[in-house]
Amino acid sequence: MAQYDLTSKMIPYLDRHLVFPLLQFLSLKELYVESDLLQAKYDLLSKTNMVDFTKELYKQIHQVENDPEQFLEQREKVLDTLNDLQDQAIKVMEVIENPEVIGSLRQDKFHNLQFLKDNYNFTDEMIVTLYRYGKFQYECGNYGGSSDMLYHFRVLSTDNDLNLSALWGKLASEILQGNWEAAYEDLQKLREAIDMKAFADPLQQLQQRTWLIHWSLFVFFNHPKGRDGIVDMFFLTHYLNTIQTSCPWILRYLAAAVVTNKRRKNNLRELVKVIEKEAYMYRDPITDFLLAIYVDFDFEAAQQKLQECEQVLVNDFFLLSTLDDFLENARCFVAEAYCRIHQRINIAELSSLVNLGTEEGEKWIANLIRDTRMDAKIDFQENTVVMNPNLTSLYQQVIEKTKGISFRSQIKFI
Amino acid sequence: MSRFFRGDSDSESSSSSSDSSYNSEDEQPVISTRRPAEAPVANTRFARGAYSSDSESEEDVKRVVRSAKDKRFDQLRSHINKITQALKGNDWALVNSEFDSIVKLIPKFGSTFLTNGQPPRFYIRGLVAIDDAIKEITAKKQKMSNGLHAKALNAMKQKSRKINKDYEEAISAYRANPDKPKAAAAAPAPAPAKKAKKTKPVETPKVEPTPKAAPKAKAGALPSTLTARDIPAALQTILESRGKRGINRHSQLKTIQRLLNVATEPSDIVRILLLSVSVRFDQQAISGGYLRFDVWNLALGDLNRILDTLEAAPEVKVHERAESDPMSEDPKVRNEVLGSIISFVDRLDDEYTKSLQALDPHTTDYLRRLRNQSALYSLIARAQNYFESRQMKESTGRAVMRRIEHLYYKPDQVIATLEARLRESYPNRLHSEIIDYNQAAEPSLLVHQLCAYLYRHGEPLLRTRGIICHIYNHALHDRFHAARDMMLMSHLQENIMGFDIETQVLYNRALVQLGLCAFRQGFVRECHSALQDIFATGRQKELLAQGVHNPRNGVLNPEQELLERQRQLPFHMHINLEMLECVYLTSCMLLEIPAMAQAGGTNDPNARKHIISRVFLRLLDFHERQIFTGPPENTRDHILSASRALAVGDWAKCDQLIRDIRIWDLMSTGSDQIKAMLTDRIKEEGLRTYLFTYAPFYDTMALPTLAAMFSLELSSVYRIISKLIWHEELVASLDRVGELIIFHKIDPSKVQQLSLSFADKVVNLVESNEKLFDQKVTSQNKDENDEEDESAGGKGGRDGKHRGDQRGGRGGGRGGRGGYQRSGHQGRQSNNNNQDGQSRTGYGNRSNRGDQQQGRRNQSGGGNPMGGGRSFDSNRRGGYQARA
Repeated sequence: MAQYDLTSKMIPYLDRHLVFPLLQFLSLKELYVESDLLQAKYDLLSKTNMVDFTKELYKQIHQVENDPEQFLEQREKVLDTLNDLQDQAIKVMEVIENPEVIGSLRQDKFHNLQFLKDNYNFTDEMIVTLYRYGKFQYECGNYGGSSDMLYHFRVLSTDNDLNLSALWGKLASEILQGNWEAAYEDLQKLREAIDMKAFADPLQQLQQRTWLIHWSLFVFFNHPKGRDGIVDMFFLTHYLNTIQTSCPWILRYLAAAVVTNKRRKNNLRELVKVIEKEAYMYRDPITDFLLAIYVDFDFEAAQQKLQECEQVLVNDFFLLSTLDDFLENARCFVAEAYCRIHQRINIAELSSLVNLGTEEGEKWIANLIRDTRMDAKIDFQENTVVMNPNLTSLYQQVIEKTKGISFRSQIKFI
Repeated sequence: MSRFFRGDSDSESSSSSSDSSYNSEDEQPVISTRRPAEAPVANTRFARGAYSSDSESEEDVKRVVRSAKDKRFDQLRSHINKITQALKGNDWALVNSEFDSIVKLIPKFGSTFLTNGQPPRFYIRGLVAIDDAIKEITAKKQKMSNGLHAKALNAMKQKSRKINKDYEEAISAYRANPDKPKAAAAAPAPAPAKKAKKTKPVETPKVEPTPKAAPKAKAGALPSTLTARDIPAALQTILESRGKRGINRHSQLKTIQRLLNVATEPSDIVRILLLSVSVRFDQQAISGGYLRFDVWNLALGDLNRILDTLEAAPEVKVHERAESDPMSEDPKVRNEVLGSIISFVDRLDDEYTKSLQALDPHTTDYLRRLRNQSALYSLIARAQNYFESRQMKESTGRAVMRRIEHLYYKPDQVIATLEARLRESYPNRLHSEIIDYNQAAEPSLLVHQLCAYLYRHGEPLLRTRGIICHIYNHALHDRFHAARDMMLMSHLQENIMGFDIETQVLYNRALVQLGLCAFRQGFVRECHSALQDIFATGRQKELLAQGVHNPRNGVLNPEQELLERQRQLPFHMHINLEMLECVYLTSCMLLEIPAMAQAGGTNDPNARKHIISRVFLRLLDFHERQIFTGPPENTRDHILSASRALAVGDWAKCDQLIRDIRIWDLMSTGSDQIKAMLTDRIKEEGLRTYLFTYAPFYDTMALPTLAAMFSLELSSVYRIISKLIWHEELVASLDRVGELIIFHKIDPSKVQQLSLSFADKVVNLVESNEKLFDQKVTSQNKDENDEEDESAGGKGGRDGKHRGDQRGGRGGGRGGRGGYQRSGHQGRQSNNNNQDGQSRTGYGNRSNRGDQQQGRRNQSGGGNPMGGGRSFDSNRRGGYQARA
């Protein structure tokens, strides 16, 4: 199953801290050799300031008991810097948290800045301190503190570039705290910022969007509204292009989101088109499953792929939670497509297509017919389902055709 | 005998005296006013003196029979006489007109005008007289009373300045010694000889009588024993004589060779060789269309030697803005050499192409010529290497481009051979940042690296050409997806019209190659959409620069024809047009026949909404109308007969006919694979056609029977039919239990039918109405904010966007063009444009996908056709407008 593991592909587009949960997850799943994973984790964290954590990992890898020297030293340094920054930041915070000041702050950033400069000897340098402190806290793994600092920084700062970085930082902090509501908001803000900003180099914008797509997965698969959000966002032309250009593996998540989301079924057609287009670059059981149903109409293959899908989903950090939804909906997809094409279906055959036993299958089909209000009957004697073809009548066709005409003409000539 | 001597020595003396008088140019401006009076008398005598022995007839004025040349000389003389008269009378108008006739007359002499590299003396005298008169007038600031004369004077000033430049030497020689002819005439033969002896020691210790053919002017400047010190002067004289008539290049080259033997300093060697190359290139005029092979080879050798020298002497710099002074004491200045190696390389390459254009490709000459390519290629690679090491960005780019142009159309094996030759000839000397020579010589990697360099550093045009070549190369080697993505991401199809015709031809070639590649891989629809535009025009030959276009009405005018001939590709680069046609028609057949069946078996284009290929339909129609169709002979016949078989569901016959086509053997992937692919497709399309055609006559069909009929697997029959049902192309459903397909008949009554078609018509009416309205709004808008529209680059204002939306909506309503729903290529937006251009390529709008290697991933929506309102007028996007 390791062949379908996307972690290695995604790591370049994630922050170090965000990668860590992924690696943790992998070590739970035992897809890779444990020592490799440990080493990977160590390499990952050694560049951050989370010294204690790194130290533990080091000990685990090298099987030593004592604290190695290098870490003590590093720890000292980190603490020093942290204290330094904290001292500076506290000064700023004191001012900001002063109720008087809060009372007189307004929407206009420039006004606020001027106000603070005039009354409290603020300098630009002081505001940047907030940013630096926030960043450092983040690097140390203190995500709550960093998101606070960065929030304050964003309120005050007028520097667009730093603001963007701060937003990234804040998003990461919120994600790592599991603060999905806030993260969802930040995500929207960040998306707006990236779309609005005029990048000198389109490549840079592409990069930012790619990152955003990867980071957003954390949010989308955890936030209750996330499954709608992911479909809405990823189907925007810009993002769809980004996916096609630089990270086709995201199609797995998009596909999973579409399949598990009953309300966004309209996007299915478009999704299948994209998957088909990119099939030469990326395919996995999930995309193959959709291709099998909607392009090749090969239901047996679809059934096989569905089984594989289960494996893949279980081993995917993001999709694990969607597993049941996915399987259930995927079955519906198969049955729906199958019923639309056929007039008389053997129940046993259909049941096997959705990976269910005959008994179970019959129940399931009966439910399906009830739920979707299909025009079908089960013939128990012959053990078949008979569909009544619903043809659009000619009158209906004429009505469809002429429906919009007068409306259109009116719009035109207003 | 004596005359012979006289002529010879005389001319020599004159030349040597010309040397002695280099500095005394402005000594006697006064004489000139006097001289014209004597001119008529002195003429014949002067001629005798000035001409060497071969112009004997000159003296015999009495002779009745005179050569044309002599007559011309007489004419010339009389003109000059008139001028001198007119000068005296200050009649500038006359001078001017006479002078014009002289100028016209001179080219008629051809090479006879110059004797020993010098024009006749009386002519020079005339020039000097004019010149002096002009100087006199300007010196005095004399005002011309007559406007006519003033004007003529001004004209004369310019002309005289121009012409004097050409004969500078002769004039200065004349000025130095205007009386000489008289002396020569007065004294008998020995006198000039004596004089010559007198003058000689002054300048050159000993002048060997240089070969007669050598231009005397130069001979004088060249001492027999050359030293390195003489090089600059010698080079200068050769340089000055470039472009003049009657210069013997052969002797120049000899001189150069001699100079080369004595030159020691690298900068001098480079200088000499550079000159040598350009002299060699000058020889082209003689042999017509292209440089002779031997000369070409010599030039190649020279360039190689230049590079040898330059590589060995890194301090020498050759560039176009060099402050060159070969005489300078400062070695730094001396090492700056004026010149441009890349332009020589370019020229050499161009000459090579020209020669291939001119040669008959079926001769051994052509083959022999092709063999030179590896040497040329090595030179280019080497030059590129050199430029790179000297950080000459612009030259590097050009050299890389040349190199790519030698590679892109070649199969991998050939590229590997070329590279191997290159390594053989220059082992250990190739160190390049661009190309990793250490890696195994993987040809596709090589092309990639070269192109990647252009993407990063090249100028826009080179970049575009680079990417087109890259696409071509990808397509040639069956990397369809890579090629297609590059094609789409570069937005070429949108802006190719803005490029020069050569680039457009290159684009067409790449597009066609992409189509072939798609076909080889079995992507029939992609193949069709790539080839569509080229074939829609019916001018494949011209669009690919593989033949000159014959316009239906009248002939091309000569310039156009010449231009077009220059554009032609050498034969070995051609794409097989017959194969192309075969591929195109086959793909048309596979797409069009089922579509026809679906539309009710009609191939009347008016009755159908979406025509896939009009070209194919026309051919098919013609074929069907023939009263007697014999067995198929050529490729086209085969395909058309096969189409007819396919239309009635006889896939086996269709397959047989297609398999009989011989040209598949030429496909690079091997004919078996292609044929197998085609058989599969034919079976599938046959089944579809059969179902469409016969569905109205059946209630049910047994699936196993169908499978047997088309010798397909039952499962694939299931799949094909499922697809049809799912896409609502076939009103039917499957019975899994009885293995049946059940057709659902809808038998519309007369009224129903009529109401349906009425509804259709109303929709059409509304649509055309809207279109008209749009046009009106567009034209109004255009009047109002023409400028804004243009500057916004079709981004369109509010209105444009609005219109775009409208159109998109409509396109959706119609269900799009044939390719829209299924073809993988067309993004959503392409619909906006499809309405306008019927035959746009499917390679429309998978827009704004950047490209990794290019570093211009434009994904910011830049390519997003925001301007739905902009109307594309091009019906033939793939084509270039040759005579727009």
